[in-house]
Amino acid sequence: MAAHAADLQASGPVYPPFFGPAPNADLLRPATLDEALGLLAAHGDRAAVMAGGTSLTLAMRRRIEAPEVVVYIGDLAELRFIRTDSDGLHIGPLVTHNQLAASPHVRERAPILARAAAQIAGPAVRNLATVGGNVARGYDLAPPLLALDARLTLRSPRGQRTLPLAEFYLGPAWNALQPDELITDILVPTLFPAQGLNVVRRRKANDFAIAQVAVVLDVDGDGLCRDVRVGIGFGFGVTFPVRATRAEAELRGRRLEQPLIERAAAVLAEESNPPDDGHASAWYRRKVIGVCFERALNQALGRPII
Amino acid sequence: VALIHNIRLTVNGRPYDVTVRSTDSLLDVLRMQLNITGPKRGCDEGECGCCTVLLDGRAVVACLVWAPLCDGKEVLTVEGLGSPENPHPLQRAFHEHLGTQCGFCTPGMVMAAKALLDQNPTPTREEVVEALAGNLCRCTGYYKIIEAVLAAAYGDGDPRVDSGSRSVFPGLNRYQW
Repeated sequence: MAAHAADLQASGPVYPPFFGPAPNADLLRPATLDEALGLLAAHGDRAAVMAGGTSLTLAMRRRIEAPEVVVYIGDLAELRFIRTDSDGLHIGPLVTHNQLAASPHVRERAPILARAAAQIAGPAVRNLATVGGNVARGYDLAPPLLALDARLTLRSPRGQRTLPLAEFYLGPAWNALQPDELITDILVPTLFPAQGLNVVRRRKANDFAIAQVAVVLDVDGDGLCRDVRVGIGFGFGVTFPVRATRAEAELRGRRLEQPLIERAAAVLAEESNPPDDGHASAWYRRKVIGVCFERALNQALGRPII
Repeated sequence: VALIHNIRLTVNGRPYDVTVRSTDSLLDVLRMQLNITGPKRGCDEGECGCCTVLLDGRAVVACLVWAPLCDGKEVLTVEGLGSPENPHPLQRAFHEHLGTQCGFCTPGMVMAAKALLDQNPTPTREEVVEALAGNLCRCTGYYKIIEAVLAAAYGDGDPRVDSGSRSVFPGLNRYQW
């Protein structure tokens, strides 16, 4: 490898050396969910699922992914819904980011989710990109959904299972989806209304978060924290979104006063595993994620954000 | 096996039958097959917004839309808005408020603004900024583009539009030169 290429790799995101038109692939358009699952089962690892295509297209142009078969699920109307029932809020994986951000159900029950969706990429990308794709790849909707304790329904020809989102992410670019499985439902249970979200990105639009914290709180009148969930993420990078369990334990059962919040922020920064890439250094991300946490928590508490 | 697709799409009101590969983008088809070059290839990654077109009335980045999925759909590009003799109000406002410099981002800007005004004919300045957030311009500093969209929505002379952003000699900037 040439010397300058090695320098680039040391400081920036590591891309395969070739960019260009995506290699052609077999494009299949199933009309029903069962047909789609059958196609996925038949093609296994050689197939990729596409809905909005905003992520897969780039991965193919960069040769990160090279599926021989692309199963387009955008025609499956049964996966495009937002509805509420006694369990909570059900979001179909084909809902686009703009639909999610505009939905009154989502804005009422999960305001941090609507706000996160409205900040992702630009309007013309949000009309294409779907919630299911964002969740599957662990992008910027994952931290709020982790804090909201979302549950996924995964369906394959073998049957159906539900999985808490916290158990869905197994590693960088690695999730619990089997090759023949599709996300068919994202359930946001009815939760505490105290919610906060804080994101740091280099630009206000068209950029991934470099650090993001979502907080969902159950707090009593005296400021005692009965329960808390914290989701953290670092956008697009060699890491994956997680719950900040040690920071949560720090807060649970205690009164939410400034010294405790600062201590929990330090614990969160300590337990986080930020990537070091061209978007931001790990040092900076670790500094800033604590600030995001304090701001998100104060927003959830309705306190002024400094 | 479906590597090649025969599709019919309507662009600016005119139907076209084209043959495309699975992974061809809508932008490839518009620019290279149909010779409709209003949508520009900027980043080809959905980051710059220069290829913004309306697909069934919604603003999308044409570089990330797979062409075979546009079968039966309706596309509107900047060419479908108006002509030099008879410009769309947005095009006229961009021109008169000097919302273009090199012009590369302009087709995307105009289409993103069109999508906004179709949905919300009376946007606030913040809503205009938000609607154009996905479009990069490296020349103008955005101010005059925002003024142009506000002028198209409210007309010149409205207090919401900065009258100073209007060209001093709009009549001298002819459309055809």
